Amino acid sequence: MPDLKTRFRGADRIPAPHLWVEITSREPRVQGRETGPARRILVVTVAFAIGVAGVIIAVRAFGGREPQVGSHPSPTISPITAATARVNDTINVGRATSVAYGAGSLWVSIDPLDSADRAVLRIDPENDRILATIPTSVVPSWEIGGGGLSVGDGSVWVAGRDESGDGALGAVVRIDPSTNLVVDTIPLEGGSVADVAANGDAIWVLISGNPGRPKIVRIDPSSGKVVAGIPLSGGYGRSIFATGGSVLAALAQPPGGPFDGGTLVRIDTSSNEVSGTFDLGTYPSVAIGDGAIWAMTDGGLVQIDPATGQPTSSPANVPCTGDALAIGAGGVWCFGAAADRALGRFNPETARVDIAMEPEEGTGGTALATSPGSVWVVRGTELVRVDLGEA
Amino acid sequence: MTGVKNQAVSAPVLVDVRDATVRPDVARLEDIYEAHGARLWRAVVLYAGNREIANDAVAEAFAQALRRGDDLQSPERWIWRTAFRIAAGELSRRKREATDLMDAGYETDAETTELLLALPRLTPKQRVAIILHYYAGYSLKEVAKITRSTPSAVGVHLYRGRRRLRELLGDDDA
Repeated sequence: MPDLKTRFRGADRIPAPHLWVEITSREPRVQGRETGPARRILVVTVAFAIGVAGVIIAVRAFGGREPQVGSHPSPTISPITAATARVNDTINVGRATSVAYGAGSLWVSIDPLDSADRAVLRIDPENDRILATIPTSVVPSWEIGGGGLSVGDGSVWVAGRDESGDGALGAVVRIDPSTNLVVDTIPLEGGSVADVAANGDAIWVLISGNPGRPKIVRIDPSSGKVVAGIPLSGGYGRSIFATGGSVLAALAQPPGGPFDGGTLVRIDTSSNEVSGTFDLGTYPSVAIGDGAIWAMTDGGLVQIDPATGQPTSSPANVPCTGDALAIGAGGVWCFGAAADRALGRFNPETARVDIAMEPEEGTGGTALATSPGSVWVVRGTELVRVDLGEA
Repeated sequence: MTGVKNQAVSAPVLVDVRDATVRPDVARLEDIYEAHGARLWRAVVLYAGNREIANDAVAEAFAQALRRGDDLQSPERWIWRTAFRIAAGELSRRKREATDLMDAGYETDAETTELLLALPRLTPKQRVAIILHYYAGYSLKEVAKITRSTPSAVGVHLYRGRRRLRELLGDDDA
């Protein structure tokens, strides 16, 4: 009897079509929206109409006119009157996977081809100088959307997989901003770590989980010991947030794939149990900043009440890709749904998209963060600085 | 790694020798397609048992990668993952709608045909692990990265999938 590799070699005789021409002429579907071939005719039929409508909506929204907002959310983002934005600097950082702002600095995780060169960079937002290159065996490995890097409770937290040993275990690393040194590495059994957040009471770690088994691990910050494990129902863990006594986790759904949906679950920190779930209707794209949490839903952008994990308003129809969100610098920032994925800002105060970057400025990227007066875009091996200005 | 002031965005550099209008990121993905496209398509056919699903999944995965240009750090891995994700979504949709999945007429020998008939009887996780490892040639570590799993979990799926295939195929060393 043949072995498996021999059997599989026979599959090489199945004639494969050459799809490159179709690929280059194809309009990709929006992430998280799978439509099958059987529905293709219907899709094609309505695509033109939707496309025309989409262009009109995009121009209206990113042109600063009023999007469709059901009710006006209570703004908690610091108001900024600036009405213009421009690319002010491009910093070559290497293969960046995530970016976060805190402790007065930008923090960028770098995942080079050689995992021995993994590091977190500390960048001074005043002059864009790299203040420190902090070697760490753990960095987040998300291709799109960032995450796995946060600043909280006086430390910088990095989540990912530690590939320095034989086992390649999930781990969380703590960096002390006062020394720029890794001061703690907490190994976590059972797989890759999606994200981490710290709120003083605890370190909350979201385990991505083998598909179908995400969970939250609560760690005592004083001992570094796991004190609770909270199993979650979902495909895999994507991001976690701790604010104002609340802990929220975003999960890709459904449990068995294809992970084109998402939920936001709230954890009761007194009982370590799930206290509520909100169906996002799309792949999770959630961000926190200025004390506010915003999420993409299938209906648009919504502000989330951390106390309940539920939206505080009807969705604002803003044409975001859902690849990444950042809160701060006067609004909610996202990449536009047009081909150039140019950066735009939704201003909750006015319920408008009031800043839309020009396509030729190349502000489409994979991860976002804000600092006072600036927005930072991870774009391949570069960190792009966008500064706000007066109209 | 030093800050470079005011090197904002310039137009794409046109360097591809095949076509002066081809952007570098497009050329890179075309190279990946030439190296992996057929193998990926066959892997998805093995997974889904359906050429129509494979056509759509592979084309859509590459089209989404093209849209993201140079942003993808590991485009090969990302495309493999995305193609299988899209195929899995279509499979579950068709199962919900009770649509016939298997299409016939592959030009293969009897042993490969037996394999094609046995693979759908594995769980999806076992099937993906077996195909990526034994057909596509990825290591356990790479399979884990593609499937967002762990090498140990992939090892379990491979072990159980191999054992199930051995029962189905009557192989001693499957």
